[in-house]
Amino acid sequence: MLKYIFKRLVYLVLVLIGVSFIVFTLLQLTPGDPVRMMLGESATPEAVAELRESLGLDDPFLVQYFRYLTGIFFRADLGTSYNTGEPVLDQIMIMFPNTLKLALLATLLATVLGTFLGIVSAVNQYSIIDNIVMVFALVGTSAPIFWIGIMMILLFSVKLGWLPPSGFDTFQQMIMPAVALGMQSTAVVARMTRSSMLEVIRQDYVNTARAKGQKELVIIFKHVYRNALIPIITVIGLQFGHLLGGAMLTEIVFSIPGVGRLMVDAIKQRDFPIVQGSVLFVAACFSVVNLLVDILYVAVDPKVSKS
Amino acid sequence: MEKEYKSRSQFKTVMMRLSKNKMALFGLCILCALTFIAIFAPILSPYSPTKQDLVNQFQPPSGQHIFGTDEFGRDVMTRIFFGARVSLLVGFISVGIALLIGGALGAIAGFYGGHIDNVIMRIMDVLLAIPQTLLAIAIAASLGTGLFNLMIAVGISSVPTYARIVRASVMTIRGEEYVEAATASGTNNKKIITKHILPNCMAPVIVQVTLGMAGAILNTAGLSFIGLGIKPPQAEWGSMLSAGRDYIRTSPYLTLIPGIFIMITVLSLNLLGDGLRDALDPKLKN
Repeated sequence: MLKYIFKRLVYLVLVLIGVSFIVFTLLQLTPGDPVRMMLGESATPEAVAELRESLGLDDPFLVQYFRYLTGIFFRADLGTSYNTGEPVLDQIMIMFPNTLKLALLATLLATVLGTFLGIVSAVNQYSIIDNIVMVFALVGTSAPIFWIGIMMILLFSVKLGWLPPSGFDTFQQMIMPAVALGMQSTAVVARMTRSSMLEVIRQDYVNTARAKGQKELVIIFKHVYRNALIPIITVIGLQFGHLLGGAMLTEIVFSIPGVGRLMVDAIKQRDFPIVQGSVLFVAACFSVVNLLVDILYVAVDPKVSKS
Repeated sequence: MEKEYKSRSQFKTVMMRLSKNKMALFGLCILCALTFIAIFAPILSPYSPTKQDLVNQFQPPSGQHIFGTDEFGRDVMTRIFFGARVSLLVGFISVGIALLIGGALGAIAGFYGGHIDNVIMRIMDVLLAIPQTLLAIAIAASLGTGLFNLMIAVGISSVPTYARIVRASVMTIRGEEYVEAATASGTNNKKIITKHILPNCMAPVIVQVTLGMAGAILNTAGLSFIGLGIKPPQAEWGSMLSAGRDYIRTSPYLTLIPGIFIMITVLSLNLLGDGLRDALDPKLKN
């Protein structure tokens, strides 16, 4: 197990080096001069040249990339923002707690509501309840997150005045963003729980338990749900990673100061180091979560660990 | 002759199964209706999608303007119809780009295996480490706004998914007897891949293409919503939704209607994709 984790960690580092190269290359290809953006159009050519040199933008591409990479590995330095002059990592760390909180809340909602709906649906297969849940799941996976957010603001803030339309400090402010972001994942988890439960529900040992006179609730939770859990855990883990990446649209709709919002603002201002750092940071979190899910998977399923 | 008969027979079987799936047929009907609207947009509406009419700003839905007018007095229904062109076009082309590049890479990796497979799939792993929406945003930020760049951004961000699916299918089919027979009879690798392997691994690809188009349309709308996709005045559902957000208190229909159309389009593709999956592989049902 330890050997497996070590191997995966080494591979994770290699993947992140690859991600850093892709992101660095992509943003080098971006049209427009960041120095002109920083100094304005009226800046003298001398001032532009001086700043370009001090930022190292005149160096060859590979030199710039290796400076960036060594900075990350040896000094945990993701660069300096062109606009504020502050370290990128500091700015990300200020914003990240909100993004993490949002993704965690959305995952919690998806886990609790998604598994509940999936179980109810599977136990009542082909009934009205099943149909309603599956229609919800289909609509949930089809509606854009940002649109759900706006519609919630329209209903719960503008029309009913129950919840605040923006911010992320109080519990009340967190409800709508978490629901909007978690809706798609809830639908995905519900569908996966249902199909996973249906696969197990027809097994002989479930019939045996029923024939022995076990209570239906015990059968569902002890014999069916526990054995259907592995694919559900995998989906929930993967959803958490996706939610970290997908939180940016929710952050924009609800004016939440998170990493996604920081990145979108940086794109508009051509603040490359912030964009690079944000993508790399989210990709690192995404990869770590995926790794944890894989380890959990191996730990939970003896068949996987043996193979 | 026998081959033609067999392929038609399999196609017929799949279509028969699909025709029994009411939800999939419903999805297909909606998709056909949306395609009709997109193609005949200039004929279906008497208004221009971009021409401003400031006298008729913020007209609520009425007989004259079924979905109302926006902040520039433009007919929302006309813009929705023209927006369908963009959404379906971006969905179609970006999936085409992803399928072409990802499919080719997956086929090469799966067929040759060894170092080639290793190199290609490790590059795909790197791309998969970046959440798809984030990757599309990074590519769009680098390329700039516009329809063409949007298609590239959404398409490239889906390449690893297709590479993985095609690779897995090719690896399964590679060991089949008819592929070994073709190799033994001296057929070159390119012909084996294109004539024997790829046509036989179409089932999962067709399903992914349908579901992938749904994802592409959602991504397109998301990119336009944050200002990285189609810029106004061109009609696009995501940017219409974004612009309407400023008038949510007074004219909520400006955000409600584009969102409903995005949802309906994605829903129809999801229904069709699910139906195709069940029809192509009935074992997967449920």
